[in-house]
Amino acid sequence: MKTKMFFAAMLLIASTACNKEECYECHYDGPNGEEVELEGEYCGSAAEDLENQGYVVNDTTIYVVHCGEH
Amino acid sequence: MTGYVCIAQQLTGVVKDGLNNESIPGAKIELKELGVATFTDVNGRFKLEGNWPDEFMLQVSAMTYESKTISVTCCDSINLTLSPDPHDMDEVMVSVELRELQGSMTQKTDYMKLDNLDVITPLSVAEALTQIDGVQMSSYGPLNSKPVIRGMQGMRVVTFLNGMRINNQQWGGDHGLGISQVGMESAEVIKGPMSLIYTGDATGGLLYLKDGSFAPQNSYSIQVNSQFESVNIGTQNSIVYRLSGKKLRMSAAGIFSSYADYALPNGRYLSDSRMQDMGGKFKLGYNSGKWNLELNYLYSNSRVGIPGHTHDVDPEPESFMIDYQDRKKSLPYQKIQNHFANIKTSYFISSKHKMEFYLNHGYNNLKEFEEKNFTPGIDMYLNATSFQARHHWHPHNNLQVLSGIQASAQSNNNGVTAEERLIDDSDQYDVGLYSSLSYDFGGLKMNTVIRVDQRAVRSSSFNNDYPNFNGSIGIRKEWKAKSKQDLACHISSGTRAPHLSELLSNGIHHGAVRYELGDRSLGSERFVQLDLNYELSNEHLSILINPYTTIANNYIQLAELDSVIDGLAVYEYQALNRALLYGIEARLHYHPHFAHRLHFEMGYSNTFGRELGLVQAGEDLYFMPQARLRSNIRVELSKKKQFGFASVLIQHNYFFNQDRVGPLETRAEAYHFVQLGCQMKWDASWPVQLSFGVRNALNTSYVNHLSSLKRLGLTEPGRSFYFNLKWKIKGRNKINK
Repeated sequence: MKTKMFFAAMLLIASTACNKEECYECHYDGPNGEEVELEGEYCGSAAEDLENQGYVVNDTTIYVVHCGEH
Repeated sequence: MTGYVCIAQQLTGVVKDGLNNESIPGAKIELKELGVATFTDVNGRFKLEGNWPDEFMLQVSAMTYESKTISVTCCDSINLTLSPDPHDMDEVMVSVELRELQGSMTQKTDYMKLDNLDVITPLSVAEALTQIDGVQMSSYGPLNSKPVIRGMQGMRVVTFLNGMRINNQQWGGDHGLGISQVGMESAEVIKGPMSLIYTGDATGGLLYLKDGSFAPQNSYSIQVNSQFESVNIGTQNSIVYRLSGKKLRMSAAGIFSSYADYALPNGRYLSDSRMQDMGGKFKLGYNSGKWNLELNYLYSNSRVGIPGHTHDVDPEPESFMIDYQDRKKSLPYQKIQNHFANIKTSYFISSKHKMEFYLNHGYNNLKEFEEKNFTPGIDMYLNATSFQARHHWHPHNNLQVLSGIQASAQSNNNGVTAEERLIDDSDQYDVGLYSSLSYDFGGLKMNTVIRVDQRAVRSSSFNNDYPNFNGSIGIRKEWKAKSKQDLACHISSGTRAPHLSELLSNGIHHGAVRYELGDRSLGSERFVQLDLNYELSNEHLSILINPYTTIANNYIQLAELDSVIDGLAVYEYQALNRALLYGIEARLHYHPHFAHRLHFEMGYSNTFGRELGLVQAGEDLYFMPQARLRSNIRVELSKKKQFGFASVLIQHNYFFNQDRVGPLETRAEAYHFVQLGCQMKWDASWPVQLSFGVRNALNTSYVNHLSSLKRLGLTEPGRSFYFNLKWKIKGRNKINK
């Protein structure tokens, strides 16, 4: 019984600490240095792709995107 | 008085007070080498069962009594006396005989019972260790800290956990110790290069951490601990489960802690000083006949904010302060993962010979995220595997010889997605041989150790070998009359080959907010320390004086250059031809006869460091700690009551000005730091302890000289109220294996 109680408590700690998909508000620095917010939130792989590949404006210019709090 | 008999691997006995012959309940009987323990019952009786070697060591300890360790030949009948020792009330015991560390009759160490720090509960192991004179901490905020021993830190302070050397990028100014105190029993500190049977390169000192003992034989316990901290709305919750049978023992622990940005004395909050940590531990012990086996595993996963991050050359402190408190993930931060596993096996060949074998593996991954959430600025993987074999030879009572061999292989690799590479991919191989001989010439004890090491560093662009030889000699004499006097003197050397970071760094270190440059031409640095230790103690008073001096040849330090790269100050690892370090540690403990519940304790420590020049005196060294005067007043209230206030503790620390600073370093101002703590207990069958108090009670705005935030003018946390609850469930096993 005590062993079960212990492992149940461990499971509870682990489950409360486990990672969930994180969502971010993202922005890029525009041509005049101004901060341009992107609409909505980007989650998981979408946020990762956006940060890695940048945000394309007018099919020509790629801006570096920052997501989350700084 | 303890009398016992051993019948067919059954050890029974009774523990009594040597003065009044009354039995001592709750005394701990421990076969340390075998990991077996039990406690005496209300009549002072105990019983242990097992299958053990013919001869082993037995330790008897009880609160307010002198601990005793005796050699037991099964089934001798031995009587020994436990004398009262009021100084044993201390959580920190200075100059005790070697507890966990082994190998010398002359050496004394600073020993701290981490699981007894219940009145003012520390936030980290490094903070707990600051109660030892000569030990302070280098910090990047209160949650990211590591010990500084006699002014030395980083790779000069080597940490062992359960016999395993911990490698987790300690070279970085922003890389904390990274080991939680949950489930930890004790910490032992050797100051300076006096730990040659463990390593030759602990030129600053050695920290030996030991996880808690197993549950008493044939019993189990579950300990739940919960702590709250007001300054950063921090919580730390842990659970430790222990189970012991006759031969098999195990323990497991889990921890989760979360801290928001901390409040500064001015009421605002320091941005990105938040932290989250989770981890677990597992420990297994088994003994049968002449074999004893212990397995330890530790996992930790931390997210540590990097406060004070900027690329501005001359930033204002206010630019790092915010008006709200947050604990969410926020850039920049570090993500640190550790897996440490080791197996220790002991084989008792005969009553005079014992072998120990250690097999260890450590994995550390350190990621620093600066501008991006998914692409780390740096991403370093450190894998270290090591092996050790040690032979104990105890031919007779006056002579003990300890010899061993150590070997390790370490690889440091960078993640492919990282933006920067601070250190190239590289490997490091070490092998070391040592032998220690201790002899007792009728009361005058002598110890000598010799050690040889060979280190090879290999990378695609750099290869070098670093052979090193070290030795130490120590003598010690005790005089026992009404008062006990104890004098010890050690001369010892330590040689540290340069670390990969000191040789190969060339890049931005986001965590430390600086550009770091290594120097491939650096050689090994050699420390030679002279350490004198005198202690006088009697029933009411204990005085300790410990002066020391160290000559450091080829002393490597991180010096600030007068240049900037990418908006960051440039630091370079440089070697000084010769440096002198010296200082003193002194401690006084007064326990008045008229008030047995009252304990006064004071400690003073200082360290000075200066480059030695042939023609003129050189510059002072960087990162030398402020001198400190430490005072504790402790009142033990209701030791015998089942419920009520147990202890009250007032701690006052005065840190003196630090005017002796490195060429581009700024001085540090003196400050007072006051803490108050109170402990309540309920000694039920499942005992409960409640502690509460206040840190930085005067809300002092202070900056320690060893704080990495000092150059930004950022202070340490303001006043903080804490609350700690500890609850222990315990019982007897139904099945006994």
